[in-house]
Amino acid sequence: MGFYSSYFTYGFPSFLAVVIALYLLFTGSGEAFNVGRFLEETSPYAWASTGVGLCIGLSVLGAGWGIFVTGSSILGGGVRAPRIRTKNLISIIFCEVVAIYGVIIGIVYSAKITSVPELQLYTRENYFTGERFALFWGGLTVGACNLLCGVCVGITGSTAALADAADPDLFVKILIVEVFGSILGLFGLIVGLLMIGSAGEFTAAASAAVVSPYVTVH
Amino acid sequence: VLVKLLIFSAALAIAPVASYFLSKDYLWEGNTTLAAITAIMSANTVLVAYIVMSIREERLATVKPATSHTTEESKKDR
Repeated sequence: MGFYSSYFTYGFPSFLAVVIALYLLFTGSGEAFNVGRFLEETSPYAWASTGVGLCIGLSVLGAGWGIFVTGSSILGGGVRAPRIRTKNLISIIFCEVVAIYGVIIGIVYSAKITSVPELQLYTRENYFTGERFALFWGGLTVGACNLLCGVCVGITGSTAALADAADPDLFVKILIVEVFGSILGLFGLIVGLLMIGSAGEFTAAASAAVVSPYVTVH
Repeated sequence: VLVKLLIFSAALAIAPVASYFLSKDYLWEGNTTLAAITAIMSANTVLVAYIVMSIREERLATVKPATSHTTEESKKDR
């Protein structure tokens, strides 16, 4: 069963994709697959909101992963060595700081999303200086950095708890490794702030602006 | 012990967000990047304060059992 399940997971979606692509090609509507049209038709709000959601979602995912790995190690090690219980909560606080980074960036980004009437939404500034692109990719950057930082600090924290249970002198040295791991989340935060620093808010055009023929305004 | 952790967790959640909004309006006049940097520094300050307080408490806890052990051994010697 384990050997054949990889056939299903990799074979079936790719088969489906090939069938759909060949159907479009052979029935002459191959131009329905249009990446440029997708990029021009989607609303800037969709990109921006997805960026903010990814930022806080992935940050909390990383922080939660780190906390559950560290927490289970502390609880297990605390059965035999109760003295590690209070000092190893430092690792948990390190993981939570990662989630706080995600919250701060979410607040900063969502302040940039202002409400603009739809006729004037699709201007050149909104598209190409890219509040929407900057918010989306900035949110993805911060979220992915915080995800991996939280996992790193969590696994290091769990090993620190077990090492502390064995030998109390080791804890301060392993704490230095956790500080280095926590700086990774800070790097993502700095890059996210740099990306949003050059992008202004959503601006309304002077008149009804339509950038491309694909956009239909009601 | 537990109360200290709760207070620190609440401070870690409230202090950065509060400092972001307060510094955005009163310190930096609307510049969001500098306000976010202020919020990050306040979060790191709370973190460092927690670490320092934990290590200091742990040092106090290890000094006390050492002194009690020496007095017990002196009683056994008599």
